[in-house]
Amino acid sequence: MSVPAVPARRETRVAYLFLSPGLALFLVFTVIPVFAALYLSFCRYDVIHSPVWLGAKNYARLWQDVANRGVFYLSLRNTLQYAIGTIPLGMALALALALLLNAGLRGMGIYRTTYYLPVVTSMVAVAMVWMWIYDPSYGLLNYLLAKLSGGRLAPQTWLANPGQAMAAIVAMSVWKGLGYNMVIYLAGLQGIPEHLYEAATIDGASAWQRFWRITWPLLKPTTAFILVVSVIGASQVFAQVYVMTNGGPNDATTTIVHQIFQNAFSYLKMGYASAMAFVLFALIFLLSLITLRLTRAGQVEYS
Amino acid sequence: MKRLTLLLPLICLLLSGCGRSKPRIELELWITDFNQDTTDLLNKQLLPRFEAAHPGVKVNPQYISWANLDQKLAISFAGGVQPDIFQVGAEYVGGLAYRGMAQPLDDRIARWGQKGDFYPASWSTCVYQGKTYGLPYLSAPRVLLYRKDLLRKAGYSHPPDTWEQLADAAEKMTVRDGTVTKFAGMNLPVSWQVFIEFLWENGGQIFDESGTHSRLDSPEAVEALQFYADLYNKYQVCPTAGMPTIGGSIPVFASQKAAMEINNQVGIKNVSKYAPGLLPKVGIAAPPRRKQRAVSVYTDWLALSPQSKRPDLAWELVTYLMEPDNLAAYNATLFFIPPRRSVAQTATFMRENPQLRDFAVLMDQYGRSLPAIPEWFEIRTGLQSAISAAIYQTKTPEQALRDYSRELDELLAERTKR
Repeated sequence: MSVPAVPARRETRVAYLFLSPGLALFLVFTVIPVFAALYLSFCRYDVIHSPVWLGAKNYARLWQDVANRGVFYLSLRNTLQYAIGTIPLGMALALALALLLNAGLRGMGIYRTTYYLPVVTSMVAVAMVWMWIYDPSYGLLNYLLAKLSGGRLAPQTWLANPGQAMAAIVAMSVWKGLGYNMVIYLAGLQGIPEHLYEAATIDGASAWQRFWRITWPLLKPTTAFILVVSVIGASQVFAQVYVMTNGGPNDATTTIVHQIFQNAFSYLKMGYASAMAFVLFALIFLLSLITLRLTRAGQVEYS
Repeated sequence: MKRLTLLLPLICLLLSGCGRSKPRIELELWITDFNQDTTDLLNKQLLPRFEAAHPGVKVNPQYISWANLDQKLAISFAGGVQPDIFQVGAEYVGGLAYRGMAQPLDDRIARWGQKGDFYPASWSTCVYQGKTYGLPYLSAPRVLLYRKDLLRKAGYSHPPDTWEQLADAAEKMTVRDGTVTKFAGMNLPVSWQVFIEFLWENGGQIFDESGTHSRLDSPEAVEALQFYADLYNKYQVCPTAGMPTIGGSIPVFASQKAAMEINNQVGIKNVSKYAPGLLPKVGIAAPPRRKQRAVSVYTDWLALSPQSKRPDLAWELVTYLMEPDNLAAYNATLFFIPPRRSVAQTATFMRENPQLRDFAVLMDQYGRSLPAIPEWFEIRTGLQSAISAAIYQTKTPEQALRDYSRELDELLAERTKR
């Protein structure tokens, strides 16, 4: 006996019923706030008084700020510096680590966990620890520098030096994010069929050739994924800046999200901050599109 | 049935709870300046005594961190549940008054009749456009702390009196080894607070009296910033990154890494805590003058919410906390200067510390509070960027101040356009 078919429309209705709690949450906490922020980005709004429509004035002010090389311009420049500092280095190190771990090291689980630990640690806690490492008078880094140079190198001020502060934040962030990228690369590596390597070895390919001809091309989708995620992550850098330097010294580390936070919560300029947020959204959207386009070209599959 | 037996005790509990609670008047009090001694004082002595004198009244103190204060205040006000009384700092009156987040108290103050006992610089912290929005609770004047022994060695029998003497004495007391500063002639943070002091000493101001136009492009302002930047770059009395300290937690002056600094009474507290032997060698004086003398005073104060349902009772609690003994006890827990003259002169902890009394005297003579303006927090950040650019030499002082002055004019115009 066959089960009587449920009418398709009813089935859809039931499906939506089950989806509705999730959708409601998504609507209330994501969709509505996003559209509210879009509306606010055209207003003056200080939380206390009701919003006043300004047209595109907030966006014009942002443009003017960039033209005058104001603080928003600096935050764009610093965010770009952060991205250029963290992404290539972070990905290269992650790939190198993943290759090492994939070589069948003993105790691989322990290494994998160790490298992944910073990822699951809270950014604020990690930032506090690194502030100790960077401390000019009793920090670990200056201690090591003095030891290694035999006392010839003067202690550096790191986070208090406009020329070094961003590099210090970059180094810490690369360390923090390494485990995440590594685990994704490791998964990608384990998805490459072993028989390809066997065949290549029989044909006399060197380890270097095997990497460039097999591993690297087949890892392209993984690389593309990590790249997109890293670009988005770098564009949104905030917590370590807020904790370690609060944008200083001499505005050398203020970033886009740091500016959004300051304008929204210190100056109660929710409209201006929302406009910044949408500029950031447009930038991330554009960058992700470009990254995807670039990495999709030349993707291969060996069946 | 089983479910009912489970629910029964709960229902009883709820009913008994309702039955027991008499109609009560509650006051919400937010305190931002506190340590363990302060919370003990308020929770165990001051507030219970107030409650005992007002049967049926319950005061709920909440101890709030400065980091969360702005957000909590804005959100509670927008939600109509602002605390009846809240403590804020030296930079708040403009923003609170402009947004209607604090009650003007002039009529109550006139009836109270004790305004004359407060130091003018402390009092002006709570005043915006002629109206008073609270009562001063704690004061911290910033004066010159100096090492008498080192200054004598540098050939000075008195603390530096002018900018020229300040630069000269600081330069002479600085000890350098190559590019590394071993000992700073003056501990000098890169901060808008320091700039404002030089600006005032030179007769300048940030904006005009009406708060509509920048005055940072004036020659007085440029000269003040030039001098400030020169202390780092020409006289090299302190590295821009600050001096290394003992263990990172002991402040520079108490770490004996600097000969002078501008600081409030907490500087003295740190010396007596970390280097008590140094205390007799530390002198206190008015900061050096240019055209005039200025002691910048940072005062924390108590504001009343316009949303309070019990404004009379809230006012009573505030004036109770301002009573001489209560004010003295509160200030003693935090080592601040009581903003009332009678209290500063008679409180035990003030009498035991001759140096603290000097702070009070200098505050009375030369004290000045920050200008009150709604956009203060934004101005402060912009000012910090401008002075950093000059000190780190990415711009000249003149260029840095001219650029920021233009921005400030635009910012101030936004309010006046509304």
